[in-house]
Amino acid sequence: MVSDLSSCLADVVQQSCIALFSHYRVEIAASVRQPSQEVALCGIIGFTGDDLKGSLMLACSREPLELARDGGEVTMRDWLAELTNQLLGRVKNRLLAFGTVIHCSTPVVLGGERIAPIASQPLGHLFTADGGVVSVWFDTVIRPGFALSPRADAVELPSEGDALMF
Amino acid sequence: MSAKRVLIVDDSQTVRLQVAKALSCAGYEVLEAIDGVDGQDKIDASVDMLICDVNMPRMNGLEMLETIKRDGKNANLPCLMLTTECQPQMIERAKKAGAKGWIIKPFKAELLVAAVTKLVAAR
Repeated sequence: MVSDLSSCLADVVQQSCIALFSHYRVEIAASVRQPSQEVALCGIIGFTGDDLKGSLMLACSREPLELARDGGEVTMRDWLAELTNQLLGRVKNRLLAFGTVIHCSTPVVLGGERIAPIASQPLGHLFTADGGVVSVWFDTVIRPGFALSPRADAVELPSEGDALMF
Repeated sequence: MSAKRVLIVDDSQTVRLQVAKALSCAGYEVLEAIDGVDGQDKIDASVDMLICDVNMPRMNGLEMLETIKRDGKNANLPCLMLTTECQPQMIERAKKAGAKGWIIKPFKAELLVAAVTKLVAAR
């Protein structure tokens, strides 16, 4: 059983975000500083499950979003929505290794002035990227008594990028 | 010989463009649909293969696949699921509904092209 649930969830979210941006050739590093740049857009996706429910928010300044975007054909809003979807996908698949299932909604994107992350919150993460910032909130309600335990009947789960042919 | 036609059903414009880019470079013609309802409307005899997301508004990819199989008309159309999901129960449900493969996003273009080539050739 994982003794510190909040720090385990925080670690899952942080590692998932670093891996996601790395896939798109953008290296990001955890930071504790409040961002000096304003975030441009914020992607939001909800999730529900027996043990956890809430929402994940991914806010980025323009630079890391443009760096990660493969070509300029897609809109920034749609690109951020897809990144948010893929970030929660990674979190969800890591939680699945503990036998914890969450179900996701489809993402929406919010644009506005001064969308400010609160990086000091237990499950708020702030990253710096080349010339910009990435911020993630994992805003969750946890069922009382819930604990993360590695599955006894652990099956090897496929990873991002894998192709299974039947 | 005319290019084989692949229908990508995904609510993300980003994913539709990524798939179209990868497959058109490999000589496929790519059609697009934005959810399961739109996907059902766009399937016809000229489509050689289907690539389908799971989580979409209006009708999700698994419901769409099950409806196609139940209707029978396009039941033999090869289908590849392309999704962030990796829950064994979902993969099993897709398999049962006749899906021929499952790719977890973000996808590698070379794996997607290889899977499509294999399934189209086997049709």
